[in-house]
Amino acid sequence: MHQDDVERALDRPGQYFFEDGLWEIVVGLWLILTVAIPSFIGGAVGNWAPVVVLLSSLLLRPAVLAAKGRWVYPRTGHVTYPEDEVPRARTSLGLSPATDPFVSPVPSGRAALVRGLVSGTSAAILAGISVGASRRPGPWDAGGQLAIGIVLGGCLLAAAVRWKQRRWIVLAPTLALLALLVALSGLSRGRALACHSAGIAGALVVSGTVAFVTYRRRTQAPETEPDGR
Amino acid sequence: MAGDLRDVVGVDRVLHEPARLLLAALLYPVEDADFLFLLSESGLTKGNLASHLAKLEEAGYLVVTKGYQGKVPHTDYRLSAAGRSAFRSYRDQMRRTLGKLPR
Repeated sequence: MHQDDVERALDRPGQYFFEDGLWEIVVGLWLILTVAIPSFIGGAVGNWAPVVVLLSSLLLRPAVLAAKGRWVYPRTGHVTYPEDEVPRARTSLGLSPATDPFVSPVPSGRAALVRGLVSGTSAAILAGISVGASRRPGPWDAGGQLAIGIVLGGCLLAAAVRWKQRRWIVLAPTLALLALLVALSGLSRGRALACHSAGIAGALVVSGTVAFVTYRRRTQAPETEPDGR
Repeated sequence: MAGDLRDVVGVDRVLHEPARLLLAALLYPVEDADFLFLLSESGLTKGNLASHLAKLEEAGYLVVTKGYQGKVPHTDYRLSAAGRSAFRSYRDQMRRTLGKLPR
């Protein structure tokens, strides 16, 4: 076995988490429910959207794992990912809910409590910023939308290279292009955010669905449960 | 040069077998994985896979947890601390040895 084969095998469990596309479908649906719709409605609902976004993001991982348990694990097997894969720096920055889908360990015990506290604090801060910003509309709106698209696209491109998910190489510039279109559209803040998040969600759901259908075609459910006994 | 390369003679024979090395590499980055995952990723037959897993278990490199999911038998495999250490040592040793070879 060549050294490169060992490296590939070491990367496989990580790729396995993403290749079925369920993560994208779940996150896409979550974006529609927590960002696109509240942004479209606007008002008080829109102001508190960041709180809803961050708190509900804690349910993302269990939702993805539940979907995997229903449609993926019975076909190609179950993997439990280690909790310590979550870098401490990311948690301390309060980014754990947003980046949880990139790692798959189920939050448990103290880790879940810490993550909950960090998420709650982050949500409160973001809600404050959001409420403040909505009272002072500024020219940074279009730039902000564009920045979100570029950052998202960049992160996705880096993840595509890291986890060898080719479809994300197409998805990344799509998200950046979408952000550019929204930025140039001249829509009001609420409408722009609603359109942008709905566009991102749509792209994620389409990409995830294609990956999921491909995965289902490529794999077969075992006739009997194979086991080592 | 030959003296340095002699290290390879003492390489871990349990992990040096390609199928077992693949299984250890698949299990190294995760907490645990079940038989079905290892079967689909390794491309081994059920019998062959079970045999290699048994050898890793005999060497103390695997912790096997047998249970049921509903009425269906379900077995999870996890690299033990000794297994992780052995895999790291094997990887380092092979890197060192192969790195010294002329291109």
